[in-house]
Amino acid sequence: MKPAITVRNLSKTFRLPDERRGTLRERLMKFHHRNERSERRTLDDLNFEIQQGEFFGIIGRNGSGKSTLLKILAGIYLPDKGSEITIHGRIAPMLELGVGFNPELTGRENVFLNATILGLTRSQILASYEEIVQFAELEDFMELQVKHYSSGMSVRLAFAVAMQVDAPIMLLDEVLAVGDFVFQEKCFSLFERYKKEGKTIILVTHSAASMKRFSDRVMLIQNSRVEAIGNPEEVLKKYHQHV
Amino acid sequence: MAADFNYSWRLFKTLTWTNFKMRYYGSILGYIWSLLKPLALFGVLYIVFTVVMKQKAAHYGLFLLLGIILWEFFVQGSTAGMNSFIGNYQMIRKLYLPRIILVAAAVSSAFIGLFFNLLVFLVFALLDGISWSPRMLWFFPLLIAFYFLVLGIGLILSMVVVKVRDMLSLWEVVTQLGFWFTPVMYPMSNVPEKFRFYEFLNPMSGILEYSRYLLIGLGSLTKPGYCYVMVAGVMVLFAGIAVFKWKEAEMVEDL
Repeated sequence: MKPAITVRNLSKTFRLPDERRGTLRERLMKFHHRNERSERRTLDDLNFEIQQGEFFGIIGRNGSGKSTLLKILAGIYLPDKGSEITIHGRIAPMLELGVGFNPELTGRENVFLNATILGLTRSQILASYEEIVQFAELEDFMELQVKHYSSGMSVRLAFAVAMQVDAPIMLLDEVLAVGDFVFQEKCFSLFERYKKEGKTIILVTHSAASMKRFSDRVMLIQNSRVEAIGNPEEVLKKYHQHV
Repeated sequence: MAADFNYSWRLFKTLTWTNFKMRYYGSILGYIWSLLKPLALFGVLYIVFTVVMKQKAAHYGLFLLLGIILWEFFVQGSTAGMNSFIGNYQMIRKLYLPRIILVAAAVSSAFIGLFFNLLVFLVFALLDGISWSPRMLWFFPLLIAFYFLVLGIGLILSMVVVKVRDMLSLWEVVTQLGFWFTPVMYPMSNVPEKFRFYEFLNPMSGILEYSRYLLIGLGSLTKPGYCYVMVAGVMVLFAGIAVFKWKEAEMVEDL
């Protein structure tokens, strides 16, 4: 099997916020220690491979660097020089539901906007529009501005649109954390569907239960480094020991 | 590669249209409201100059109206471009998209506004007895150079403002001063000869002066001047793209 993603020597260094100067006044006042750079290495020399069709879980405590890793894989952040990332196939990041939703627009308009941002063509959106509306159970509310929706309604709509995204590699960041258990079950059945379709899935979550249920392999990130990688049971045991 | 381009193009169209709709949203009279600002300014200036200062030049009304409409696009377009990067931070931080499209869409939706305002100008021009001339076709390349200029400025400002938030207020002051240092209300021929060259260095001077010459027949146009404006528009756009590409990745982290 060919790997879907290969990561070699991946590091990411951020400049610390105190070095960033917001206003002109602050900039001028701090002008003299301009060359003092405080940096923080959020990811330190990561090496791993994700196989095609694999359900790959990433776990780690807050601030361990897992979100940064996801953002680098999604192309949002650039890694440090010397890092090598090879991705085979299109990658669809789902770091948040409803990216680009505009509360002033109607549900219908937001479906078109959000789906376009996620990469669907107009004819694809038209073809799946009915399905989106039915899945979100919002048949009577599509002409209503989203600012009048309850938060549950917007999440349902956003999720229904996200479901339409079709890419061989999916990046998912705790999308499951939102919504009630019915909604979570819907997410889980979507994961099952992805698995059946043979997609490669990368999931970042805190939930050990969903990790065990879906993952083929789990990677534990601790203090910016890969602490363990492999069988979900073993890696999760290690994770709980550390916590 | 082709897929990327198609995606960018779809995104550009959707975002431009969404931006345009948002500007006039929540009111059927939305577009009329957006006209009100330039028209009110026009009305006041027109009264001051014709009634109080006894300006009697032919087509002075059209002269002023065109100047204000074009200047309005300069201000709206560059400001929208400046805000588009920091204003879309949620999108930028949650997904990869060609971010340059965000700026282009913001400037373009202002450009659609300019297009509608020019239709209003057309109505006034017909009422004022302006007739068709092939010379007017030269206005369209100028319009494109104008768009490039504003987009280039918008791209640069969109990066600067991430680091220097004061730019938001500063740019307001710059455009306000620019209104007086650019021949919006007066023709270039009123500028003392020794300053005229320097004023023409500002490409906005040429854009205003030549637009009036081409559409109304007032003032004058020189070939080198016209070429300068065209080249300046393209150069500023390239500079804008270069700055944006250079700083983009860094600014995403600083948002």
